[in-house]
Amino acid sequence: MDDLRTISRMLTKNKTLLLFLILLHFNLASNAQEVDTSTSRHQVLIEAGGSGGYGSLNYEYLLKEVKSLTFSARIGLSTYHLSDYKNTVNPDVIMPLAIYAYYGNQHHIDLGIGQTLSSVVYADGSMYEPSRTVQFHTNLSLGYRYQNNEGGMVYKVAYAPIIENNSSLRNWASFSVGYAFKKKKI
Amino acid sequence: MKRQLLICSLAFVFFSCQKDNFTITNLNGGKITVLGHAGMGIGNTYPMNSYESILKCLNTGAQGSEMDVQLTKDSVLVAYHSRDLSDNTNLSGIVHAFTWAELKSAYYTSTPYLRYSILSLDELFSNIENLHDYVFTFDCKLFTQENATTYKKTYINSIAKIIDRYDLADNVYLESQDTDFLLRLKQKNQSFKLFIYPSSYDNGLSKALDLGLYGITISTDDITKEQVEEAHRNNLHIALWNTHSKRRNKEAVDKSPDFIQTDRVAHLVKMLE
Repeated sequence: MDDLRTISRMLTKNKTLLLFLILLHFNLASNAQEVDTSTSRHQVLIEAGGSGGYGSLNYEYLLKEVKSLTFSARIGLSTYHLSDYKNTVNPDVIMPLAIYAYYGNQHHIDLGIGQTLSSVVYADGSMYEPSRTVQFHTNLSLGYRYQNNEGGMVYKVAYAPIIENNSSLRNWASFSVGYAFKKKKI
Repeated sequence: MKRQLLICSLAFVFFSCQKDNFTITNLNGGKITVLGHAGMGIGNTYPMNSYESILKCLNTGAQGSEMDVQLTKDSVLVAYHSRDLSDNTNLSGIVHAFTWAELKSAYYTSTPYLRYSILSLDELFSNIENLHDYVFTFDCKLFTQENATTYKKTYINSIAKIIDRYDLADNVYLESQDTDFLLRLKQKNQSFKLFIYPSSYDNGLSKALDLGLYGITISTDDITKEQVEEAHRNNLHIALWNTHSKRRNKEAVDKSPDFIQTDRVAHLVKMLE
């Protein structure tokens, strides 16, 4: 419950994330009736480095296509430890959210921005018991993406800096391999 | 074909489940004390010397942990490895340039999103349950820009105080590369268990014998099984480090040391069970 309150407080403070979630909601709602698209809508990606820290599993959803310009939203999941230092199952959770814009047909220039939620277990500074700390961080991405419109394998390399706690910059990179599901025509 | 595959799989399972058998002859009654290398060791996502890393190590089944110890400007002993804080924290400069209050708010920056704190030895020892069930090696790092003699005296007094405060005389081993520092420690308290951390085995052996030390801490790469036996014949304990893989853990165990400061804690604990 405390965590939920913290998240809600942070959402109120964090306007970028709030805007992202609102945009994502309206986009998903407006696209709910569309089935036929020129590009496959769903992708799964494994990313080394990047907004998940050391790596993450991601789901990406195509939001909109305007000629060769494509917009997509991504949600990922990562962790550093599944159990805490007392060996109790108590995983760290790293959850990157981002919006991407990529331009091109098969070879794309790819830009992304988003927020990463981290919920990490530390020893608290008074009782030295495991305690969870929730924080938000900005993730950015500028890179190259290989992707066929019809679906299939996706590859991406990017310079992917992280602004930790939205205050300190960490230079970082990512390499992703994924699969775009084949488009469905009805 | 299926049968051959089945036999191969069964053989693989059998051999991978087979327990390693070691005959250990040392000064520790045939038992090797498993210590974490600054907690869970190099390459772990818990930063070395952090509270979380050391506690994880103890909760994984190690008998204790080695830790790098430095002195703050206000004479507090903290667990930190590098000469400069900028190596892996948000501060820069040597530990001795900061007070504990200033260091307490610092955090490790080695891994994205993770902000573990720098640990004082007081914080550690006051928060370990059954503290006296464990042993600790202090790798004394002497980094100062001030008068070395005064610094060493203050450092040694701080060590003596913390050992007294937590009644850890039987649980703490002290290691250093500095023979003058070891000599001063010995003068402070004859019962301190002192290890030299030498540049080579031969150098370590002669200095340990000259100074009447408890043992030698050395990389497993720099000592042979025969040299471990020689040290044991001279009543010197051997602590090995630089075991950052399962293979190296096994090689180190084969040499029958008295202590191993490992980077693969879980593996070594399981192997020696």
